[in-house]
Amino acid sequence: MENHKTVTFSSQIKEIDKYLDDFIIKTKSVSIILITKDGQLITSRGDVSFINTTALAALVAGSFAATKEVASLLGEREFSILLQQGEKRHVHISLLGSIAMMVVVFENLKNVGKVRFYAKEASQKVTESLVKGGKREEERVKVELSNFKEYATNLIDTIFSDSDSALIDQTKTETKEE
Amino acid sequence: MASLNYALREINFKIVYYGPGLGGKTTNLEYIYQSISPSYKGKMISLMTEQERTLFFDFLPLELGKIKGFTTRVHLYTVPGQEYYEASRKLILKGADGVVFIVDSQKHRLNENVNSYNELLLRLKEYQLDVDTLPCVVQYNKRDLSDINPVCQLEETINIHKKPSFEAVAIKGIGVFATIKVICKSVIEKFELNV
Repeated sequence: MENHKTVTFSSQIKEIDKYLDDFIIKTKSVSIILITKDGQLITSRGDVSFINTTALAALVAGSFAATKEVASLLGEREFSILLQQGEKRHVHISLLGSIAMMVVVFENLKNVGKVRFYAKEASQKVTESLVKGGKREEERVKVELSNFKEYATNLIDTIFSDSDSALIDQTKTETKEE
Repeated sequence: MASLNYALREINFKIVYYGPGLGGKTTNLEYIYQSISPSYKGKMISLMTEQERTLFFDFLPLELGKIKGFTTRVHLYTVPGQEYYEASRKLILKGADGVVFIVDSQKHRLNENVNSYNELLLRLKEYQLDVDTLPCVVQYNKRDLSDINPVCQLEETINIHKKPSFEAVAIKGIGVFATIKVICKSVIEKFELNV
């Protein structure tokens, strides 16, 4: 497996979002966020207006990976569920096979049983949907790679446009003098 | 690994800054964070110890903007450099699209640089990533200090895969942008959109 990319199609997300919406109704959760194990956002439902989902995805993936090492030290392959309890909000994180993670934010701690129960049900459906993939043909976007590269390269030059190289020359001179 | 999300119209890349402890990985990210326009950056997260050493990772999402209708992001991570955080380094490296290896140019750090690079090779192998084809850039940091190894020696000892390399003084921002520009471009070059 050499540096593949993960591809998520709209048809998949449509189906997954349906399961996640259903989950939110059943559990009265605030929001649900689906992320890859590498910490990339796949989709989110419910109220995520107060959450920096990019940062959350990176941190959850990191903490889950660290927990896997803890599991390993205890002779377990991994822990499939993490529950973090706050004062007002709580987070339930469950692993979806080797593909993704489902992060549920909920407020009423009394609902934790429901969250756990329905998270298991939703996990199975979402995993199936992720595994079977989307309708690639209808989703295929004709993007010229050369164009993409050109745009991206220009943007990178714009973002990092300072007199960096001139400064390198200066350092070399200073180093030689020393 | 790069992720392409048609529903969200997003493309995300992951670049990991690797290298021995106190080599300047976090300093690179901090300089980037402080120097680029707010519209291109997200929130930087640093998980540090009380001594301000990286405990788990630093994370900085860069927003390149919309390219061909896709919001394109580059997620920058650093690993904790100290030897005893090997498990963390392994985890963070997972799914990397590119690696920046930060070398501490000081003479007394040579062995640590070599050990860290060898560890990186081992981890890449475990993730079945081919170092010859994986976008990678080497940065020789701390070039302003007096007791440093010459670049030609570092090239021979550490940059054995002949990756693009840059001299840097990350704390002053020298060489930081040159490094990230090349790694970003290499990663994007490798990315194939015709899935």
